[in-house]
Amino acid sequence: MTKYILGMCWLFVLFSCKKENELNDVFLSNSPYENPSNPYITVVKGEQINCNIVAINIRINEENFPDTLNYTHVYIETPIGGPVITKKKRDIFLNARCDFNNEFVLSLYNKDLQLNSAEVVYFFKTNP
Amino acid sequence: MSIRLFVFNVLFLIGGISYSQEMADSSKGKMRVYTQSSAAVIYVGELKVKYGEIIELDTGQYVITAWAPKRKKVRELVRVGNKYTKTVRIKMPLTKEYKHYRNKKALYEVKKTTLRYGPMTAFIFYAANEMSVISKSNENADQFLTLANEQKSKAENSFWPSDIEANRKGFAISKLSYENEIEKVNDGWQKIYAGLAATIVVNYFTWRLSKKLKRPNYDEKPQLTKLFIGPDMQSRTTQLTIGFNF
Repeated sequence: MTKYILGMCWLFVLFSCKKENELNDVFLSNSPYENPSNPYITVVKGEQINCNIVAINIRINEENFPDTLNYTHVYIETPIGGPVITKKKRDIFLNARCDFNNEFVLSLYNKDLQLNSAEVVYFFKTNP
Repeated sequence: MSIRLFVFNVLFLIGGISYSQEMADSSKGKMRVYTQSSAAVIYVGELKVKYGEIIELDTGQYVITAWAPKRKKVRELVRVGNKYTKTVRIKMPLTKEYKHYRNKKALYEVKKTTLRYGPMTAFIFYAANEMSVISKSNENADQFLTLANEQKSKAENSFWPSDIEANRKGFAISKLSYENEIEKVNDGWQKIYAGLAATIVVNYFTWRLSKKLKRPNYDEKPQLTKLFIGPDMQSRTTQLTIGFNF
């Protein structure tokens, strides 16, 4: 009887194991591309064409994002009207409010996947 | 005339002797007895015979008495014909007392086995069921762990914010699911340990109880046991046999 019970106990001790939670101390860290220290797009020049139109030249800082990134366009949200989706880097004309500190939000854009990158904000004050 | 009469008388005497001898030979028959139990004690009249053995007997009626342990004593009237081998097959039903004993013994065995091995057997079934749940949860936990690690890596290396967000949510869900499965696994083991402890305690007492069960006994007196003295007719010799039938 004793041997029988001890045998059963031994078998269970042998085959049993408490499972440890391997994710107990695992937390997510931020992606370096989420809030980049160096922007992907820089507005190199901004120029008021008239009170409601602004023209900008941009530079894509390709050294700040992965080589494999397959963006297709630059996406610009303007204060008036819809967004501007363009492949141009120079003379991009944008609608703006007259006599107003306009906020333009720029990001890289993949048109096929409809994905936007982290944003860059550019302010331009139009004069009447 | 007297010679003729003498010859006739002699011939008649020879014929009569040979006829009576033939008649004497022809009034014999043979018999063998098969009983349901081959260990039966069999008597044909006062003669003890062996199971299936062929014996030669005078023609006439005989009472066959047979008895075997655990079986009823059986009597059967049999007629042995002239120059004929009679085969008798006797059914020997079990006695009521033996049937009663047999049932009591079976019940005793069931009780004893149940008390000794019942709790541990029940626990083994329970543990096997729990272990299948544990095994399934283990598999799920491993899958969720792999998925969570993949999603963590993607969330930390994705470029597109929507991908980052989707992978973050995915990681959170996978981590939660993984933790739930881990909890199930550890709960399962805890249940098994608790069940094992309870079973050992219960089994200790039931085992002791099983030792107190009284095993039923079966006693019977041999019904065809007796001292006999007589000629051994089976060996066809003239020797006298003194024996005791058990």
